[in-house]
Amino acid sequence: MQNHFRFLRIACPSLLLVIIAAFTATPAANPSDLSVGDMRDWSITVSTTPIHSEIYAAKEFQHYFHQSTGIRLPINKGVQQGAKQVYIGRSEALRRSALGFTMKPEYAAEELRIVITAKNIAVLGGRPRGTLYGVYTFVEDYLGIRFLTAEVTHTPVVPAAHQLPAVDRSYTPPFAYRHYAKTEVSKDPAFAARRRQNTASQYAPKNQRMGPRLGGEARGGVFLHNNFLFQLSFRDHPECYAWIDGQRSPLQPCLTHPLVYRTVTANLLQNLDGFAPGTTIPLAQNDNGGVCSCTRCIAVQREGDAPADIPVAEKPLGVDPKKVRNGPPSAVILDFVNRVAADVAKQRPDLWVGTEAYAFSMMPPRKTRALPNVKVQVATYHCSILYGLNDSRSPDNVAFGKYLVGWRKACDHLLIWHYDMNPREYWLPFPNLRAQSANFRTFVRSNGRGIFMQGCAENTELSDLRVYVMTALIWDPSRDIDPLIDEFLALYYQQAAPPIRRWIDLFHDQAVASGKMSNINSPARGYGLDAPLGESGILLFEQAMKLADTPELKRRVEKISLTALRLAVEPVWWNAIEAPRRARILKTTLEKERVSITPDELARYRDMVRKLFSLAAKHKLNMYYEGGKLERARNAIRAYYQLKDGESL
Amino acid sequence: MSTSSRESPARITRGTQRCVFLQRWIKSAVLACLCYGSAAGGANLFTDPTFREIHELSLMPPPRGWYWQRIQTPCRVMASPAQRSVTLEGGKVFLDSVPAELSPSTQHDFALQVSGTATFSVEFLHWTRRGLPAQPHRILLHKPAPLTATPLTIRVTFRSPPEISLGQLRLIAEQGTAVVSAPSLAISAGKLLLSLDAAQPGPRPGTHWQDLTRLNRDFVLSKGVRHVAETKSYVFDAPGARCRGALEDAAHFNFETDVAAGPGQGDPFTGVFYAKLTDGLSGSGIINKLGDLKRGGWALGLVMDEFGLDRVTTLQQSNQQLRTINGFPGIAGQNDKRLNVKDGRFHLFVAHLTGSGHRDGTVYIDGGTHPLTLTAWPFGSLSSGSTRNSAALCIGAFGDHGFRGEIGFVEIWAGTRLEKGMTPATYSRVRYRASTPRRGS
Repeated sequence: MQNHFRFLRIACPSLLLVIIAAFTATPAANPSDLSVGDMRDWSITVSTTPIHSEIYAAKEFQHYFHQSTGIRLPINKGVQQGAKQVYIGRSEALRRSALGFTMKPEYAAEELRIVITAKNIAVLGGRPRGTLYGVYTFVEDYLGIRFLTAEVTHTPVVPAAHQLPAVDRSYTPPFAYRHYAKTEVSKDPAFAARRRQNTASQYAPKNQRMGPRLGGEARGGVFLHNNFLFQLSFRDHPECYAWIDGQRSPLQPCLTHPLVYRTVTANLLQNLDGFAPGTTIPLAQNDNGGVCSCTRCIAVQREGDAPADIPVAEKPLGVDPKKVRNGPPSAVILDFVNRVAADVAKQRPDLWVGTEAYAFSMMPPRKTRALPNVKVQVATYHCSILYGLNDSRSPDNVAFGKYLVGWRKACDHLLIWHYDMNPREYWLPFPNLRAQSANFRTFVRSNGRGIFMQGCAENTELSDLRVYVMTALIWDPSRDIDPLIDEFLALYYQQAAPPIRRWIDLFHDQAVASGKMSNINSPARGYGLDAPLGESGILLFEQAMKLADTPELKRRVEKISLTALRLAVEPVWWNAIEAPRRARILKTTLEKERVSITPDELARYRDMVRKLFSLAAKHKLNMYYEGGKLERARNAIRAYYQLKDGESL
Repeated sequence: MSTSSRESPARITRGTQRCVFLQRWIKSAVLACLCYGSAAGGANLFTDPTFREIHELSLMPPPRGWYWQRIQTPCRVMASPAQRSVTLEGGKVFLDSVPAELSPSTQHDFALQVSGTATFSVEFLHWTRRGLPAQPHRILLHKPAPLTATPLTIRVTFRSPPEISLGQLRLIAEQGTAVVSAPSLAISAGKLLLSLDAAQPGPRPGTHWQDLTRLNRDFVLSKGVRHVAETKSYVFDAPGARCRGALEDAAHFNFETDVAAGPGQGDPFTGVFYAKLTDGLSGSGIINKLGDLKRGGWALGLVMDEFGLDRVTTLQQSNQQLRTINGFPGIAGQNDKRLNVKDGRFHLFVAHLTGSGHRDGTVYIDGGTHPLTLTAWPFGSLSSGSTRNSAALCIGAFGDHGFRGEIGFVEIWAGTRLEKGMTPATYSRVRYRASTPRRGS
């Protein structure tokens, strides 16, 4: 159920002014001589034959216009023309009106257009989603509405005298595929659409799929490791698998083996009818470091050059240098994918064939180019999260930036798999926010046509903020992140926003100052974060709790305060959870890996840990890492404190 | 911010020349078949049985001969043209024959000689025409076993899959050397196991029916069966009328299926009978090997069903629940298709069971070379268990119900082929001989 804020109460009035100014002063707009109060006798007109999403768009316009202005506009089907109409979507009535010029032959699938004049308004776009996005853009930019979370929409009261600007604007998002994979988004498809997300997981339950009302789902998006769709087993056909260290290995298929190509292609060609128009056939490597070194693969990997002519990669990103001494393994993958794609195109030119640039295949081929119906999904897994992908302070990011340039040359259609979480631990502060604006712009410059962003588990870390900010950037990467953060904090945490903002700045500042370069998968120390920083955060959240003057605000602040509390208990967490893992992987001892904690500190941490798990349960932070439930962490810490059954933490 | 739409891929302009592999696969396989695999009984289907053309697999399999592949170092394959042999040395190494077309659902005899120090195994791989794995795909002809210096002759009979397929042999040597020679692959000839003909019933036609193959003892007539010399037939005109084979010969007719024997290892067989149907009610068989309806066995039936419709039926079961029953062209309660053979005349039936135990098999009537429509009994299937039993083979009714009429002759052939390597369809035409079947020989 939505909670519409009729009266905005905020602790920072200057920020409020900024927000109001933002929606009343749209760029380069002149007054239209149209005030909201003038629209009392207007109506909404849709086509006589609208698609589902255009009917829904008209109802959304009607709903939010009424919520913010108090004026309920009737919806008509295509008969109204002349003045005083809000045309939603393409229609014959619009064509005959003074705004008929907007009925140009075609809009791109995701494109929107908004025209405001003193006599009419037109909101339309490409089918099936453009018009709906136009409506959301209108209510955000001209009525100041903000879709903060699935449960909370900020809907300011718009006075009758409020002037709408005269505009004729259009927008096509650079990413045709937009998928922020996070429960807060996927659990409510209507909210996902309001945040301009245009797809859902193919494994999602039916109630989380984006049906025709929301414009359906964009096709051809993310794909997962799938053994390149090669179906012959290693047991039956070891000869078709990678030659590694003198024997065949099931880690990856050998992509130059004629049987691999023959069976993958034959299988696909006889099942092409099962692919919907415009979808992508994924041919993706397995999630491991296996690189075939058979003579056929090496020849392809060298891309026609003599061994001496292969440039030496000193510190290749994501791969053992030995595996790229014959050139990038991606050349072999792209050669295979191209062969399959060429066969597919003969029968189904509308389909895409996709593959991954990930781990050992992240380095782009030197000469091989993707066919026009091939798309490549590039993953940013190995990049430092503290810096933008074009930031010279991170050698890894610089290397990745060069890879992206290479991929841009090799392929016209890149999909980006980007990360917005620490899979090692979801509860820790994740200091990646400052880098994200630059990252998205880099993706756009690099032929990025779609983005899949992997978020943290529900309710963990800065979940609510991240959903708002990241979906905004995915929709429009030209925006800066800081105003978006400020906007969300001001509207969602209201009076409590300033100390939360200081907390976000604090852990980002310390992370950058540490000089650490970790990628997404790291313990706190990998980002320069430590317990004293967490204690500072606790103090800031105590201030925030005092400023929050309603139970609901206190609930929100308390939930986000877990980021500081978790960091504050880092020594205990390390000794209970990280140290055993390191001892196991590095084959050392627990004693060597653990940090020393005095008995007094241990007792104090125990109180804090108890509070941490109590609040985590209260706010439903059910998962603490990828696949790890809260109970597992609690049990590990109980074991560390050597608690007996029934003894409370 | 605005970018142009890139919703659909552009036309492919590059790389298509490389994508002819599938066509080449089919062409080379068919070429191999045309050159060497005419499927005549006895001909060696291997294109290069003396190992003259051996290559390490490159980007494309060679058009003929053999190719080898590395699995685990060390890997070496050396041909010895003078000795007409090849030596495999591993680590682990595969030597594959180029794929050749195989007749579907057909038994093949495979043989080779091998000696050495390796652990050696032999597989046969089946592929569809499109180059995908056929079912069954990989048949183990010889389990991994250590070799010795003494040459070992491996002989195996296996059946090709029911779909039209390509097949290739795979020789595997591990941890040592294997010297291989004289590989052969040929379609198995059919073997006549039983031949009863009322035109030559033997010296005691009033009580016995002599097997012309002399492989089996004389069949004993039960009450209700009598020989009629004028019509060259035995008449079955009472409930339970049948001729019973000897228990000592029962094992000759234990035809196992893939369900128990493994993919491709079941026993195909064909029942041929020249008979006149006059009456009868749903029963198990004109030829049956069923000691107990609740246990394993098989039967070929020529019956009137409960609805008065005449059909040929085949049955294979391991018990009363796990059983596959097929009707030709119809089956009780499933449709109204009938044979229309209750016309007072003799008809020739050739009923072939593939050995799979599944809902397949073919029945030809009166010299026809197109099989009758198969209607599968939808309730139950032979999904596990053996069909073997110790019961004697019987001709005529099983129990009080079943066949009523006359039988001129009965033959049972083991294998996928019959006389001189003929397929069941060809044999139907030849044996019927334009409505004058050969008798008494």
